[in-house]
Amino acid sequence: MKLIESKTLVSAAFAIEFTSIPQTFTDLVLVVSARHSGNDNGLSIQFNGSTANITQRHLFGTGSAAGSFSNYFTQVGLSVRTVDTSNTFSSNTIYIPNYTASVAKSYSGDGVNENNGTAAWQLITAGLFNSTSAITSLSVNGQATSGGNELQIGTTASLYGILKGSDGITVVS
Amino acid sequence: MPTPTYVPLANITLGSAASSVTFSSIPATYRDLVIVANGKFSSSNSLVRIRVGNGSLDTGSNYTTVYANSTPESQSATETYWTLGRWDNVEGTMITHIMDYSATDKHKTALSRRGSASFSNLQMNASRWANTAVITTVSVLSTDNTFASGSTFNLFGVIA
Repeated sequence: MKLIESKTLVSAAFAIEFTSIPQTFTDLVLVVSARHSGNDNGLSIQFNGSTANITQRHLFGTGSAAGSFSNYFTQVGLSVRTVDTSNTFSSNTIYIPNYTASVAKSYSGDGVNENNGTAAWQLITAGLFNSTSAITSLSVNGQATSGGNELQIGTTASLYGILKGSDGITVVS
Repeated sequence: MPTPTYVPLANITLGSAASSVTFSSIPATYRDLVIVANGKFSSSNSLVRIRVGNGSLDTGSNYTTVYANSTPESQSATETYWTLGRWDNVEGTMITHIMDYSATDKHKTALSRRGSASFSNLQMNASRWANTAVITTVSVLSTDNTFASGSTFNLFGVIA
């Protein structure tokens, strides 16, 4: 796993963007620690600037209940709202295998946030970006639909690349 | 932020449909193993399963798992493999993290997340292999379907 780029906001912004992602890895891992200005605690990512062709299934817990839902927009994680406990941020990991392949891209997301012991959300996501184009850019946004909520100072997004193996030791069949 | 270290050990990309893929002769020099599968079944939907072993795959009833999924439901099972939920014939992802696979003083535990967005059965598992042996072989399999050509299976070693 190799760090491609890490960005930490020093001023509020609507998005953190990774462009010109190198096409030399097998998989991508995006790690996000986020806080934003809105009332919706969703965190979204966009592939190649698109909000279309997304299908997602989610499994969630709130600290007092659990359930599942589907959607067709880009929420894949959780953020912390400005009305929540000061200085707290969410934690998210999004794994995107075979991001350069000319097939639909599936991905897996995990996200958690917590608010002073009164609420603690967990979100697990299975997503599909139904595009055969290689992923060359990623955008992290502060709510479930594009635009709207500003990511706050201290929000961090780090993008890692993972190479597939062929070590000559492990036998495959 | 520390950088976790995934060491690529092996890759399988199916050139034709297959009901299982197997990694063997896995070196015991890492702390954990991570299997990342990205693919689909040739038709319909079926369960994705994993077997492990030392030298050969263990086919005994030594695999326990507890899971929650987006049905939603939560159950447990003891089987001859870990059943990690369903894929269908649209691309899905499965990530399984096996802890302390080279230890000889503990049963082996694993955490998995598996999902296919086109099928409503996103699932997470916590699993145990009731054996203290070092894991040297891992197989991802279906008992009633084949993984489609182009499906990829990657094995990583994690350095603690």
